[in-house]
Amino acid sequence: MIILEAKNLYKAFGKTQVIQNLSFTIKEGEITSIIGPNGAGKTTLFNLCTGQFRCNSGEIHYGGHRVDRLRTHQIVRLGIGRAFQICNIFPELTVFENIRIPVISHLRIGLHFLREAGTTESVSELVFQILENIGMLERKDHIAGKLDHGEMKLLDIGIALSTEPRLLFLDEPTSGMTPDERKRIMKLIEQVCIKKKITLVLIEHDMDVVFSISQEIKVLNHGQLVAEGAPEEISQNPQVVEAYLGESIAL
Amino acid sequence: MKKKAAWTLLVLIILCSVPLFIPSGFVMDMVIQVLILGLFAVSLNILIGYTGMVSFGHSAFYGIGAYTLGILLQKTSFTIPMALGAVVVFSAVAALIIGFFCTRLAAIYFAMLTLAFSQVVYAIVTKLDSLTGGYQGLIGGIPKPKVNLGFATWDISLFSNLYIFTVIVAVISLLLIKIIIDSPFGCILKAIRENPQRTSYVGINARRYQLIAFVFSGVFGGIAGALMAFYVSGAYPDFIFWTTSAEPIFMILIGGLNTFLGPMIGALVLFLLTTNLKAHAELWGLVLGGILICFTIILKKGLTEFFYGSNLSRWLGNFSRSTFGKGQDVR
Repeated sequence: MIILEAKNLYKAFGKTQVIQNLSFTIKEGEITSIIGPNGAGKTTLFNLCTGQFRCNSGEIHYGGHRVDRLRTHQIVRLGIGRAFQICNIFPELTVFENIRIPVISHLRIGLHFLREAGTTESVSELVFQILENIGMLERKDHIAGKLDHGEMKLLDIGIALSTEPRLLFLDEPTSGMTPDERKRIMKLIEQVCIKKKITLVLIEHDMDVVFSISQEIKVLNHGQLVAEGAPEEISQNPQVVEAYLGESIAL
Repeated sequence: MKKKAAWTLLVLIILCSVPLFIPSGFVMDMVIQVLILGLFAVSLNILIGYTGMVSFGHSAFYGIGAYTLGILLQKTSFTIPMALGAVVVFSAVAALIIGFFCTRLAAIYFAMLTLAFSQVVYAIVTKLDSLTGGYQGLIGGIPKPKVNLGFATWDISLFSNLYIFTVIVAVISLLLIKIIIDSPFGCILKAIRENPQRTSYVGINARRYQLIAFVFSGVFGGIAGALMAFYVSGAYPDFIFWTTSAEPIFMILIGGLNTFLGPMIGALVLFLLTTNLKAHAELWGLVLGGILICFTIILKKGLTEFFYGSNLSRWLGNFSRSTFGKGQDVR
C-alpha cells in the first residue's frame, strides 16, 4: 500500500533549483531512508511534504488527499509528523509541558478555555505514557532547553510521536550523538514505530544505521533521484557506491 | 478550580473590608485605580507575556470599553449589567476586526499595526462630536442607575458601593483571565510564544489562536476601560491616545511578564510613583525613565520573578545576619 506519492516535484529558491522533477512513493509500514550529500535537497523535500514550503510545480498525495497546497497544521492533522535536524522544541517549558502541547492538540481540546490543563487526567495520563515510551519519565520536570543534546533530540521526536502520526519524517534523528546513544535511540525509534504501525521516512548520514534498519533507500543528488531500492541493491549500485558510500561500506 | 475560587473569595473579602478598617478616601482610590490599571495590564499581558505578541495599541480597547459604557448609560436606559455586556460585545467585535489584520504580521510589524489601529480609533472617537463629545470627552457625568439584585436594589452611586462594585468586577475579570491562562488553550498560547513553527507542526493553527488571544485581551482591556469611565464618571480621548497604550507596557516591565500578577504589582508601583511625584511634575519623566531603564537592564524579568526565584531573599537573610547578628533569617 502506498501512503505517500510525489509526482514531478520542482522547487527553486531564486535561480537555484533545489528539487528537480522528483517523483517517488513511500510504502506503508516500511522504513525508508533518504541519503545523499549535503545540499542534495533532502531537508527541502521534507519541507515540501509537510507544508513548510510550497513546490513550484508537481503534486504530493497522502492517503487520498492532495497535500501540497495545504498548510502545515492541516497536514499534521491528516496524520503526518516530523522531527527536526536542529532541535525544535519549546525551550523554556518543562519536558512534561513540551509533550502536553501536542497531546492537547491531538485530543482537540485546545479551545477549551474553562477547563484546567494541569488537572485534566486524560491529558496527563497520555503525556506520562509517551514519556515512558521515549524513556524520559524521570526528566519530566526539567526545563527542556537545559537538557543534553541527545535528550533534546529525543524530546523532539517525542513531540512528533505525540500527535500519533501514521507517517513520520525524521531529519537526522541521531546527529550529534555518541555511537552508543545513536544505537539506543534508533532501536527505540524502531520499536515505537513497529508498535504504533508508523511509516518512517529518515534522513540519515550514518550508513550503518541506514543499512541496518531501512527496507527502502532513496539516493538524492542535486534534487534528483539517483537510485532507489532495497539496501542490498543500493549497496551494489556502482554509481552510488562510488559517489556516496565509499569502498568500505560496499563490502 | 476550587483553589482559585477560594483565593478569589479571600481576595474579595479582604479588599471589600478595607474601607471598614481603613476608612480613607486615598486608600480606596488607590485600590480602585490599581485594580483597574492592573486589570488593563494583565489583559495586555495575555498577549505580551503568554503569547509573545507585543501590542502597542491596547488603548483602543480601553477607550472602546469606556465610551461604550459611558454613551449607553448616558443616552439610553441600559442597566449596568446590560451596559457591561455591551462593552464585552463591542470590545470583542473590535478586537476581532483589528486582530484579523494584525495577527497576520509578526513582531515589530504587529506592534506597529496595533498602534496604527489605536490611532484610527482615537481619530474616529474625536471626530464623532455629537456622540462622544469630541476632544472634550464624554462630560456631564455618567449616570449610575441602581442595580437590581433580585432581592434588593443596590445603589452604586454611593462611593462605598461603587468601590465594592469595581472590586468585584475587576477581581472576577482577573479570575477569568487566570482560568483562561491555565486552560489547555493557555498551554497552546505559551507554545506559540516559545516556538510558533513547532506549534504548527503539532497541528495547531497558530494564527487562529493568536486571534482568539487578541480578542480575550481586548475584551478584558475593554472592561478595564469601562470600569475607569464608571469610576471617573466620564470618558476622554486620552483613554485611547497612544500614551495610554504605553502605561500597561511599563507596568508589565516593572512587575514582570512571566507571572500572572506581575503586571498588578507594576500597576501598584506606578500608581505610588505617580501620586508621589506628580507634585514635582518636572521630575516625573526623568524619574520614570530612570526607573524603567534600571528595571529593563538589571531586573529583566521584573519585580515579582526577581523576588521569587532569585538570590535576593537569601542575600537579605545573609545581610540581616551579618548586620543584626545571627538568628534573623528574613526568609
